[in-house]
Amino acid sequence: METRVNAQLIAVVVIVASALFFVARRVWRAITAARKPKSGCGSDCDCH
Amino acid sequence: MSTLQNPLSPDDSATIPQPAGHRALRVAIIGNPNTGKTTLFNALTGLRQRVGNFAGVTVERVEGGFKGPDGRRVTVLDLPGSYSLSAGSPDEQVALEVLLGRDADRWRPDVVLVVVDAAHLERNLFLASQVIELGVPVVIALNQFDVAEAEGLRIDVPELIHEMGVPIVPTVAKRGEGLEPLKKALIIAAELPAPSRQFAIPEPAQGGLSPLEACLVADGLSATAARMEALRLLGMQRVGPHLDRVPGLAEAIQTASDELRSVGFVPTRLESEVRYAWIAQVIERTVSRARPADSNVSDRIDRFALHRVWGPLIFLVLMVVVFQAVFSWATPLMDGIEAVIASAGRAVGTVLPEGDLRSLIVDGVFAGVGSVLVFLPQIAILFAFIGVLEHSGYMARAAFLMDRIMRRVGLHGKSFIPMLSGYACAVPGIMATRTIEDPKDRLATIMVVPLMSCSARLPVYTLLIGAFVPATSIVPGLTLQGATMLIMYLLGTVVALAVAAIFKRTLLKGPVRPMILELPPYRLPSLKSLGVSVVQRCQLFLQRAGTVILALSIVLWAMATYPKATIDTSLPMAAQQEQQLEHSVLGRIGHGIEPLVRPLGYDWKIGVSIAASFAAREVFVSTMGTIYGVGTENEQALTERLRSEQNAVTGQRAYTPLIAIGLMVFYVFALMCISTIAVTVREAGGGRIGWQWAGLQFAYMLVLAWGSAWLVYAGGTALGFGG
Repeated sequence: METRVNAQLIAVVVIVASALFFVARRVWRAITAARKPKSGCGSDCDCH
Repeated sequence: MSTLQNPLSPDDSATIPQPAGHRALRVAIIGNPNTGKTTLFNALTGLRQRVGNFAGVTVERVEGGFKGPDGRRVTVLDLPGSYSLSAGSPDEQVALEVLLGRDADRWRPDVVLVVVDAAHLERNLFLASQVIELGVPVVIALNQFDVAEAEGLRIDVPELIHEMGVPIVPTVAKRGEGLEPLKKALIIAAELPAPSRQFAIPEPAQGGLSPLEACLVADGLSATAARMEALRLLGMQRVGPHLDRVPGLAEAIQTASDELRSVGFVPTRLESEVRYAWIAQVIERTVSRARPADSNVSDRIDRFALHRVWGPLIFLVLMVVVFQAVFSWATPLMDGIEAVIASAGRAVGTVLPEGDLRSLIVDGVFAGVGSVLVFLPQIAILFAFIGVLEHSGYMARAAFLMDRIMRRVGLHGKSFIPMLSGYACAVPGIMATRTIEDPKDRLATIMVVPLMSCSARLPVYTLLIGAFVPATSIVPGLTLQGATMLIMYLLGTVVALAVAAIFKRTLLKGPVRPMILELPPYRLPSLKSLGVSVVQRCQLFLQRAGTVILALSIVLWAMATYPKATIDTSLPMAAQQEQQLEHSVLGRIGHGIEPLVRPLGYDWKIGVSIAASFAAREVFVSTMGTIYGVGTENEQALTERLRSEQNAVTGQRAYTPLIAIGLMVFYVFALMCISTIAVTVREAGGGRIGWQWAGLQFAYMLVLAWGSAWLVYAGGTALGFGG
């Protein structure tokens, strides 16, 4: 029972950490895109 | 179709030269706005760039490719539409820089494909005649050939080839007609000598131009390109920054201008006079009219669509139909998606053992992402309508109707298209401001585009309207729900115009310039391109839900679940859930920001959902889904949960219609999108200046959002609408 709980906890930690990493990377890429020159898009906004 | 395969273009017997090497052939596509460049680009490359029946859809260079008839790879670059190479606006500058091989990537084309509207040859040949003189092989695609024929025009294509001195291929890009001859023509043209000017400048004027041409040749331009550039520079009001560096250029321009004036020419008009005189001769020799021009269908429709009274009325009725349909038609589909997601969540819940992982999947992923996904039908319906209006040519009429208002607020009529794009997403809207020549007009438009209600706001509006606005019929065909949605969209637009007026009278003061607007003919929207644009929008929505929204839902679930509270199990289940939420990171942050949102009538749960949605607006809905999904056993729809939710402090309903309206107003005005901030920084000049404008934009919108939501709540309560 305890092993199952630990396995669940590890899975949750891995999933949440991956999600956090993804969000942080998106924010970072948006900020760096702002520094790029105007020609071309350079944005990773998914909007167009 | 028979016309498209006649002699005019490289036919099947034409010999295709063997590839000289393995290097890809580079083709740049240029043409007047709204000639079907992007449709042709898509047809050639198989890509799905956005197209529309109005000018200014493409504002940046877009690259694609195809395999040529000789097996050689052909790289195609779609450039923004341009009436000439005068490069007045940033998007025209992009085109010129590429054609002259001066762009940042040094992408110099081997062949330039000029897309010409066959029904409007006279205007289109001006740009074509300029490009022919650049010293690069040119092919002309005589696009929309079917429209020209339908209008009774007969174009003698072989004679036109003779007059222009370049290969010409009639095409109907939207049906893919003429593509194979065009591909062959591109391959053949690459091996042909570069074309040159087909007309002569009057002798006295040529004498004045020669020293200027010599100056440009000394700077590295070919003799042919220098002849074109000299004429072009004289016609421009200012010299581009890239030419400031050329030693002696300013003096050479001045000397040439003086010389031309002394022999009776107006330097700024010389280019247009000599080119249009030559074009008139070409048209006379190559184009005939089978029947006299009569008032066509477009003109007849425009008598109503552009009428002073009927025009705005038709526009308003169309908007009412769009927003009512978004509600009425989407409901059954939304119910279906909701049921599928709920049963999938239940199925996963029964498979996974009790514990945090199950809670993460069911309450975090399914409740969070699922609550956003149900809005997919509304996105599809809204963009199907916008697509019909764009592809039919009505949007250009809407721009015409709006021009009077635009001028009154001090904006250029061209600002309408970026603002319209803002309904889909502020990022392409802000990028579309590149068509605006005046930097102050452009900046004023950038500052207000995010006030247009983008598709990310749609789930927020729909959730709150669906939960708190009754579907009472106001007039036949229009319910209160549809009207509320329309009001939210209009509110953003009206305030955007008001804010633009303030900017144009203060920080960005400048003259108002008239707009020259081309009204394209009405066309029946092609089902294929309409379908493509709707599918693309839906894909983007799903992609966002599956990436950003999913990740944020997981993070928010963790924040709502940890640290674990010591639960008093004697309490009812709902109280236990409340205890856990209060103890969690999300609960603590929510209580921390509660004083900021309390004056607006919000509790900490709304506060924390607003805070989370600064990453992306839809996250408001997913956070609500996660908060109300955490630990819940029943599968109650989110709208029902919101209606029955009580404020833990006051014991009153947490959401009233007044609070819901205040919340929607907050979302109309608040800038909650990192991508928009980033693109504003870049388009407003980058660096410190860019950040300052983006900071000002964020701040004024936040103040506007908070102030308006407070006015709604405080005013409504004072008037007795609080319950």
